[in-house]
Amino acid sequence: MKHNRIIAVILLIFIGWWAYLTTQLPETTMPGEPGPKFFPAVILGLMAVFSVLLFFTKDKKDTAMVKTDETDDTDDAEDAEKEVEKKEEVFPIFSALKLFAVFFVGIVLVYFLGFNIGMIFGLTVMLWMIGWRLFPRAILFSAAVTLAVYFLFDWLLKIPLPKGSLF
Amino acid sequence: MLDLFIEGLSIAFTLENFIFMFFGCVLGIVFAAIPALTFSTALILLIPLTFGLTPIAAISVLLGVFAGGMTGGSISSILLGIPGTPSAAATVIDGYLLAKKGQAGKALGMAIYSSVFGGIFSLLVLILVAPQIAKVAIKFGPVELFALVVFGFSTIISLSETSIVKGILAGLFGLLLCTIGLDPVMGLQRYTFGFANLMTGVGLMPVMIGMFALPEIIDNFLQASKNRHKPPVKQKQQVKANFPSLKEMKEAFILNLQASAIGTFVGAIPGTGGPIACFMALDVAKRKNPKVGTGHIDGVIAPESANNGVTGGALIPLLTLGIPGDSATAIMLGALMIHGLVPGPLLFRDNGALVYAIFISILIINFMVLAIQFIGMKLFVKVLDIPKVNLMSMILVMAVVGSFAINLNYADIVVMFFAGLLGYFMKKFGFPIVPLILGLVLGYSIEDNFRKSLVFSDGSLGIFVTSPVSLVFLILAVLMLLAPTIRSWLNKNKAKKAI
Repeated sequence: MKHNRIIAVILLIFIGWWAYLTTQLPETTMPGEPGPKFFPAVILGLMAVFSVLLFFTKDKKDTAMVKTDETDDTDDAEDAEKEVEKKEEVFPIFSALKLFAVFFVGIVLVYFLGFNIGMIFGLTVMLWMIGWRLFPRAILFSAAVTLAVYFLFDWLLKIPLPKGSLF
Repeated sequence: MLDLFIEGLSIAFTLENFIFMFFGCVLGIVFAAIPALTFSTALILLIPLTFGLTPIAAISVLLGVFAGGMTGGSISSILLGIPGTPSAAATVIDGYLLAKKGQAGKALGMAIYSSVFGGIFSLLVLILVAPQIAKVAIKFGPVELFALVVFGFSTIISLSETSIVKGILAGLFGLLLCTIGLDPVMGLQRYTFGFANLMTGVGLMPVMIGMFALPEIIDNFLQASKNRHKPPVKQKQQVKANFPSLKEMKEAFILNLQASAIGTFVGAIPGTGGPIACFMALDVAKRKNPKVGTGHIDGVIAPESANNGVTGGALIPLLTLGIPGDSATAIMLGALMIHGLVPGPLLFRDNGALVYAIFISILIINFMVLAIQFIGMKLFVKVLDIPKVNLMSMILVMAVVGSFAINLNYADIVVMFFAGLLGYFMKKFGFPIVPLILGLVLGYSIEDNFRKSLVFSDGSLGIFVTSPVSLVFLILAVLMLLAPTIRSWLNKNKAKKAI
């Protein structure tokens, strides 16, 4: 519920900003036509209503049906199912954000230095971060994957991949 | 008619035709299975190669790509959790969950069977009642299309998992993303922030790749990081490539039939296409079986039957009226015209034998796709034997290429990244991703048809209720949206009465 409230507030701020951008769009010049503002305005209105609803909403528990244990006393124990709450492993968001950040740096390098260098760098650092402490192994693996994909697309299928704006 | 059929048989049953059909099927499956490529790309690449072919060989190779592509999209959806084509987006939900449960072979087998079922069903409809369906489909103007697409959008309710409010918000956000770029009626720039690359809007494939692939990759990387000090566990899981048994085929029959009918009908309506049909079919499956969405085989059967139902459906307006239903049939229309064939009622009169040859070729293509996929399935599942981190690293590189290769636009890689980041947070905070994708698929069509309808009616909203087709679809959409509220109200009443 607490998360929902925070998300609802963030959404309402976003909706306000987007609504401001919408007011800057030009009016229609065609008779009968609602113009470019209309559709975004309707969506934003609906989003605002549902964001407010989200503020007061508690999520249902995410459940899954699982087969009950065979030791269950019921006669049809083997086929019986019971509803249990799904428990997914939760990883710290900060660790995920670090991986996203490194990937983003890799993408930026793709723009400047090209696909091969950008991807080899991004993937190597990501692999190092998740525990591939042997740098040569991480670099070799990243280079092998990147160059194999480059060979497939750029050479075989003639689909050009980013060369890098600095080259 | 029998003369034409026999002549059609002699045209279709040539070695040259068989070779090109086979080549088209393989190419379509491969292009659709790789998230970086789409079968539309394969169709475009093939057009120049068809110049020197006979008309039937040219059409056969393109139809092979079309049917193979619709089927092949399920491979990466099920095995990697990334839809190979927009039409395979609905297959990801249950297909990938089944793969996680170690049932990838079962899911792939059922996907292949359902695809071929949908393909053959739509072919029968094409042969038997194409002119009648074409007459109905052609009556779908902007008003009816708007209502149909709104009806399609109302399926977000069943895709909303644990929170309907969150599902609706995700769907609305998808619609909002569609407003970025050029306005569909006046051509004005909206929310482009001065970036020329945003004028074409937010691409569906980069968003789909980012939202489905990146959260999965990051979670797998974090899992590997957490387990790095533990002794290595043998990850190899025994995945058998299973083709459905006769009993499973029987059980799936009704759903296959319903989904194929939805695919064929939606495909026959110009301006709709595979993704809408697949989500509508998935909604039907979910209503019949609430376990759909949690890794149930029905969630693979319905979208796969529907997307191959679209192949025959889209050919109905193409062959009978000369109107392409989607981008793939538009490319095929071009190929037909290059070979001096003008689709429409005259095609049946002037080239009847060729039309029959096309029908026969489609039937052969469907069986070819079945055979190729059945043999290939044993190879496809081997992907899951690759250690998770290695596989995820490969997918990460493919995600970058996949986003870029569609439009050769660097901005699409950035879109993929931010879509992935958003998808990660959505997943963490219980927002379903599929409604957002559905919003993105349908948004342009909803706005475009709504505004065009109002231009026709001089701004009167009454146009949406005066058309009976539109009225029916809008009522159905409202009922679908209100269904959970009505259901809970009825349950409460029942509980009160019981007390």
